[in-house]
Amino acid sequence: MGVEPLKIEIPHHLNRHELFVPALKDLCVKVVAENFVLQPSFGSLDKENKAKVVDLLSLELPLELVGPVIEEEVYWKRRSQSRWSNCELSAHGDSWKQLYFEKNLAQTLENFDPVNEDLEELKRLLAFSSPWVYNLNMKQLPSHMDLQVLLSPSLLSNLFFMKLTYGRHNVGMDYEQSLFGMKLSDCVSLARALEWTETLTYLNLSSNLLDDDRVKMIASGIAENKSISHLDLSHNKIADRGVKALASLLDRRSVLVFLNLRSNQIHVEGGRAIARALKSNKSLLSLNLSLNRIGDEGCRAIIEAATQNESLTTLNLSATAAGESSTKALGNLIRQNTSLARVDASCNDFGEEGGAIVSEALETNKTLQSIDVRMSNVGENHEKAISEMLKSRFTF
Amino acid sequence: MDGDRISTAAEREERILARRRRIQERINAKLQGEGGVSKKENIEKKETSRGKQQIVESRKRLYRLKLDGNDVVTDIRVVNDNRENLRQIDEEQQRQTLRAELLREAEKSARENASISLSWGELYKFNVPQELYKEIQAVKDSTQSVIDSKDELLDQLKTELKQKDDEYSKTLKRYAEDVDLLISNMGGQFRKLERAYQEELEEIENAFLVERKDIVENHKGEMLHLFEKRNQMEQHYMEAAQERAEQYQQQLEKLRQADAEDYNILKIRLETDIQNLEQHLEAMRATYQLNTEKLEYNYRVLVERDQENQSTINQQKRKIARQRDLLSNLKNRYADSDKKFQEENLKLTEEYKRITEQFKDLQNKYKHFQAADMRKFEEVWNMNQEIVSKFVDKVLQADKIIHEQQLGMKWVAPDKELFESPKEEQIAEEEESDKGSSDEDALARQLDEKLRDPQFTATLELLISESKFLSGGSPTSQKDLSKEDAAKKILNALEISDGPGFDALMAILQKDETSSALVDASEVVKRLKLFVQSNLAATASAAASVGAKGFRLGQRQHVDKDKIYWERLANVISPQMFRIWNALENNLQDYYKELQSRNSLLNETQSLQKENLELQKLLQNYLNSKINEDLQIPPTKIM
Repeated sequence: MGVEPLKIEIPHHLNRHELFVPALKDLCVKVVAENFVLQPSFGSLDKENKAKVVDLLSLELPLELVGPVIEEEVYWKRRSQSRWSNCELSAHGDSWKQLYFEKNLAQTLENFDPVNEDLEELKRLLAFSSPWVYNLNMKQLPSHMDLQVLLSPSLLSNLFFMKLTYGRHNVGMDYEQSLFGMKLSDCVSLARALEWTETLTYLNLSSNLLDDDRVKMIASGIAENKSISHLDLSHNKIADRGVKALASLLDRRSVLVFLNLRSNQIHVEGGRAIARALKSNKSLLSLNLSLNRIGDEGCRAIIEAATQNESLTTLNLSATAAGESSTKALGNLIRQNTSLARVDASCNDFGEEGGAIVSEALETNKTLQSIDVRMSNVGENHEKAISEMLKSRFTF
Repeated sequence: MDGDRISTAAEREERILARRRRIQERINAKLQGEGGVSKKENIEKKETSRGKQQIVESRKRLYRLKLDGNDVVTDIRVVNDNRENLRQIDEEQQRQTLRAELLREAEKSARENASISLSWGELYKFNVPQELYKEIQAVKDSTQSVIDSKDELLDQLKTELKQKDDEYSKTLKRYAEDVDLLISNMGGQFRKLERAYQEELEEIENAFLVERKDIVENHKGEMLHLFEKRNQMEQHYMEAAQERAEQYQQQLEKLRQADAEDYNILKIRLETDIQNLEQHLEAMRATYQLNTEKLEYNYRVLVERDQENQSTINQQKRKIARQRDLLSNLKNRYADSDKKFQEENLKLTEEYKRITEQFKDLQNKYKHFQAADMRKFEEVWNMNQEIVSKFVDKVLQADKIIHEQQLGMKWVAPDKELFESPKEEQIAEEEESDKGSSDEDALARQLDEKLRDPQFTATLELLISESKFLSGGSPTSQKDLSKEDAAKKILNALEISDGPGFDALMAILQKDETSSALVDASEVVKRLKLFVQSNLAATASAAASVGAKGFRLGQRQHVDKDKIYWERLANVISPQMFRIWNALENNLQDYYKELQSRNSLLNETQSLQKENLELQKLLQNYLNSKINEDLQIPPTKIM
């Protein structure tokens, strides 16, 4: 305990009945807790007293001061829960401290106003938060700040997960199209930043109204990057040209494991481009192309490419307007492929024949754990037969 | 080789076949053995696997349930996806139709606009206001129609927008419903799963309970069977035991009687033995006590002694250490002093040599001075003799004269012997002593001869080897010496300078007088010591008696002879004669006195006469002296 003149106040309200005077230790603990700002250290306090001090610490203490000193989760839990009603601990590495820092940083960035606030101040926050910030989940970024600041290894050295959506909270009647979506300048800065970030592995840019040009820009950044393994570009406006740019990323040197292109505007050409990339790729484990109008032709190409691929384990072609010709390819896929575990082909138009082909093919397959053909017009009988077949594959 | 291999292969096959046969037999035996209870056991076997089977089945069911639940929950998503898909398709179509319509409308309006702008140009042609008005109206109408069509499109778009709005809100609502449905589905599934788990757990429990019950019953039946068997066996055993007991009883009785007699005899014997042994024990105890005390005492003594010894050992140790220190000190000191004394010895030897030299010089000087003294003495002697003989002659002459002339008596001359001087005897003696010195030389020569005598070489060698220390000097220098010189040195040290001494030494170094065998080397020094001691004693006494005494006696004899001689000479005149002489002298003295007085008187007269004469002369002189003339009153005037 730091040597301090003890200011012991004799409580005025003490009644005659309250004969029990608090222990000197407790008084000291109280004083230490109250004056923690002046002496931000626990010195040689033992565990018990340290816990007591932590219990009494104010939640308003400056982060920069307490960050390196206080490890006690109790304190951070208290502080987090007093600030946010919803705290999902598992999304923040099961650490309250991490949760507090990450949420605090995300909130600060989301509300950052470059006109009224100092960028240097923000950088300082980034710098002293960096040891405990691994994930960053931002739902808006109205400042459209330079992402190179965020992804600079010198500031956020531990960041590996980033989800960024250029949305806007509580707009109400002030809605304007231009408030939403990523701008080309943001894409440029992100691409620059991606070129030299080394820790980021998970990048989620869903719902950013990304069109082909922007995706191309981002793809050029990812092409230089060797760390990103998860890429989520769902709910954008990526069309065939953008997909071609992305498909060119899936070369032999690629480290992409997870690619989500759900709900974009990919058509037949894009499907073909992805199919070409799949043939030579060895890294991709999961590919999600659902809710794209790839069409029968494109789907067939992708399924045929997946038949040859030996790394892919999850393939989602739900609602991709696949038709009859894809069904035959799907049959081949089920028969020949040994790596796929999950295939989602729901919401397509296979027809009864397609159901027959799939259920027939499933009898020879051993690796597939689930194949979803609901809402694909395969007929109730086939659908049931397929689900029964999968359910009976019960092994321990 | 091949044959061997084939045979071994055949053997191996045979062995394998035999093993298979054995295994088969064993299995058959087992089956037959179980045959009696086979059905029951088979059922049991099935039942034992029932619990596990139940678990597997439950798991299967639960897995299925889970998949079903998953399907139910994901159904909503799939439906939604499908709906979204359809919506997208619709929207796309709508957009396309809209776009087509817009295009058409744009084309149409462009056309109309063109016609309108043309019609504007045509307006200038009209000069009649009514016509112009009509035309303007027509243009206005057509423009109105364009505007109307645009408005229509606008309305259409507005309605579409409204529809979209509605659709959006509917979609939102539907999403909310979907979410509710999803939650309720999930809840339902959760509950269903929970229930299913509960049921399955119960069923598994039941299965296990049934299994357990069966097993318990089986075991109970077995136990009862075994109990019965045991009872029977116990019965059998009891009966047999009773029989045997009776037999044993009889035998025991017999044995007891026999043994009782034996026992009595034995008892008596043993009692006596016990008494004896007790006595013995007492005695032993006493001796033991004694011994213990003794030993204890001894032990204590020994302990004390041990302690003492310990202390003494310690002391001794300390003493040893001290002594060692002392020894080293002493050694050092010895070495120092040895060196010092060696040096001193050298110095002293030098000194001794110098002194011997000096002594020899002194002796020479002494001899020289002795000779000189002797010569002087002789001269003095001769001179004195002459003087004395003259005096004697004179005395004898006077005696003769006195006798003959004064006394008128016949004078007899004294003996010739009287005048014989002892000098001649002395000369004879000296000659003799010269002869003695030549004797000493002869002795030395004799010694040398004996040294060279081969008879004594062995003895001499022994002497040299054992008593080198006697020869003095350093051992290295001794090596250089010849044997003879070494022997001489040793003999010198032993103060042996003549033959008999040497013989005595040789004799001492021989074991006994008869044999010529030499003594043991270790005894040489001892014997030499004895020899030297005895020799020393002998020489000391001899020197005391002979050496000094002889010399002094000789001297005294000489002196006595001289005395006698001189007394004899002095007493040439006998005492009677001397008395006569004295009386004569006295008379003559008186006479002489008389004569003297006369003489003196004569002399006086003569002297007085002379004085008178002189005085006369003197007066004459005085009176004649010139000085008187100078005087105021000359003496002559007085006179």
